[in-house]
Amino acid sequence: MNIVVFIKQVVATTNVKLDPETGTMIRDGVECILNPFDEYAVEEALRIKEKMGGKVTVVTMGPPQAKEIIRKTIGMGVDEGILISDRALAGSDTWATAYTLSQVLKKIGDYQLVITGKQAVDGDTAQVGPEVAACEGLPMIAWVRKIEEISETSIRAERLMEDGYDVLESPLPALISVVKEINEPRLESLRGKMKAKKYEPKVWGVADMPGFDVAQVGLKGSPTKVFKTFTPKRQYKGEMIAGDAAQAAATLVGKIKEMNIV
Amino acid sequence: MLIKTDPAIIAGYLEDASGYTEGCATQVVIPETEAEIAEYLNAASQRREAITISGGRTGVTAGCVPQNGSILSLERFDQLGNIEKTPDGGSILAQSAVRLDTLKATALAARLLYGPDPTERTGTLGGNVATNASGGQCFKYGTTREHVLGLTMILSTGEKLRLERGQSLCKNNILRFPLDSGRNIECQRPQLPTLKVDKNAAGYYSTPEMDALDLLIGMDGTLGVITEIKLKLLPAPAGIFSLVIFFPTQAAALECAGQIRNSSQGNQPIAGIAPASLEFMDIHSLNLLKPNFSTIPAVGQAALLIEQEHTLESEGQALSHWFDYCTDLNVPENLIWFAQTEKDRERIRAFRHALPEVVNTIVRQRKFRKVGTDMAVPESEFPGMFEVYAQGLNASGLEYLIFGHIGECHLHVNVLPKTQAEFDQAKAMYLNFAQQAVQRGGTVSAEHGIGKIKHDFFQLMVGAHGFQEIARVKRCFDPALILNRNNIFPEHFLGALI
Repeated sequence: MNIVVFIKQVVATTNVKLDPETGTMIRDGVECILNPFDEYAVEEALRIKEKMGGKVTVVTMGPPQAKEIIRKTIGMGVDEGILISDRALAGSDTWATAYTLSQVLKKIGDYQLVITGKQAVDGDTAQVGPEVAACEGLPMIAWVRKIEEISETSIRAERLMEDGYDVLESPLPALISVVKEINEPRLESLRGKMKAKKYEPKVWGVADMPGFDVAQVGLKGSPTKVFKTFTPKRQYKGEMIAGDAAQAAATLVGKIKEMNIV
Repeated sequence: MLIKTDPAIIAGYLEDASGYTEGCATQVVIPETEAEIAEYLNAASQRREAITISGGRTGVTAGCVPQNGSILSLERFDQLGNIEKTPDGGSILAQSAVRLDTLKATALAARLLYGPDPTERTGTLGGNVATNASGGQCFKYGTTREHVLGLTMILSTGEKLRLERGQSLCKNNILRFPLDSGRNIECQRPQLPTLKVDKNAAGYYSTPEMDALDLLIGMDGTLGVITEIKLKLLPAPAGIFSLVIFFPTQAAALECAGQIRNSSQGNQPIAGIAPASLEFMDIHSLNLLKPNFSTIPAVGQAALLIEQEHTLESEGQALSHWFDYCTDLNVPENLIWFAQTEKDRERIRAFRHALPEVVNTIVRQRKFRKVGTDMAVPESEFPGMFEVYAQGLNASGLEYLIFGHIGECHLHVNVLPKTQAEFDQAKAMYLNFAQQAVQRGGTVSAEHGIGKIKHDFFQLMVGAHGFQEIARVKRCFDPALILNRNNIFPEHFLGALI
């Protein structure tokens, strides 16, 4: 079974700093990592491959330094990595990204399963996976917490819901997005790391994908317009409650009641 | 200076990580300046008020737990000075309540390294120095002692002692300490049995050529109150990676540890094999961790945890050296965990730190203290000592695990009793292990120290004469005998001297 996993490079911090002038993220000096949810996607792909044979290909769209996360997955056991990098793609929103990735799938051609993490931890939109499925007309199962059965032609998976889970079956090829409950991602292996150090991913630009419509990508091709980005100020203040333990507890209970929390 | 007498506040100062529950004090004194400490100690000496010094309270031998009198908390001494860079690293002045993690982060931001890495990162530097703390990377960097360049200490007389390394060396067995009052303390170094191990946290340091400063490192607060420390910083390695190698047999893990130890010491070098830390977990440790770490290989009967530093240029070479070595060991790829990114290394750290946490949870549920050993023996004696552990433990029928610093021949045996009878059985076995370690030229405490709960074991090492020697030295520094009583030796040895 050939599996494609879409991955993304994100900054390794929850305290993202924005340039007040341009409104864009400050990337200088900030460590970048593989989006944590994508590690579960890579792990699941590797587990399926170990069971069924085939090949795992990771794809990421980003600047040249995104090669590092491809190498990280090579260290985990991935067979091949493709970096989609082109100035024409700069400023693409989720729709334009999904369009691009759907063109990548067209070019790859021979695949039975596409896996993504449920979302990237920077944008937090969870849109790209479903949009790629829509662009390509693939069946999609989101928030997969367990693959119950998989064959060359079909998949049965548990979709995590707020109040339980659904069991869904789909023909392949299909696209699934996975949640962290699905597995415990492996670390890189020593052999994998040595391979990864020397590994040079394929780099595709828009010209490498036949029929690619440049008008659909980049800032101009993106239907989303960002007017302003900023770090919200914390509005709340702490309040110290004085008195001995019993008094303070009673005051606290009173305040909680006032706020209608209990 | 703050003085707190609220029992609820005092209660927060009566425990460390030892599980010792008999702490008791009338007040907590929180000075803000050295002058306040001096004044308070001087007055306390006049009225013979027992003082117990309190730092981060992360110790495991109740050294900071008072049994009576007052607690002197150094929490306000939390200032960290600027780094003085030198061609081979640097140095920094730290007040005693600065936390280890703060110092490490500050050094790293300047691309420097504070070598010692005691497991409990929230511990304070004053506590680290007073107990000569060590930790995982002790294999390469040694104990806290090797990184102390000088310190300031207030004596119970109120006098101040400032001492730099190299300033006062032992001559004809006499140690000399110049005080700011103009007076000198001169005392004969404690006459204690010579050990055959370097890593030792039991009792005072004493060797014929010693630096007087070394007496003050590892003295468990019995000689004075450390207020400020000058510490050595080293150039930080450009990179580091962690390996966990699982072995299908315990014997294979032990043999490999021996090879790595030999290689690191240059005895039988294997290209590139010289890690900063080398630790061990037995099958029982791995079994305790399996519920939380599902990827622990089922066939693993023991594991070695390794950290290897490298330069930017040597990274590729370091990786291939370890790869070649693991290939020679015939360890399959799926039995090796590798971590290089900060995030992945954090997973290995979490794996290592989860073990004491799991043990503590079991202990809390069972309501019986664990019986945990801390012995180190000379390398030549290590295989024999391990055999003593294995035979004793397997014959006992008790639940146990063995883990720790195999690089320094220093493993922790933890027995987890379920009943009082099992607890008593474990204590008796511990005493036997301690005797064996001492007979082999080892120490009964390589890193945890003696504190208030390991006097019996320490007596095996030094005898009553050793206690008297330590008490003699203490009297030179603390004539009123008020500081950290019952640490290292039972306080009646002080009475015998008065």
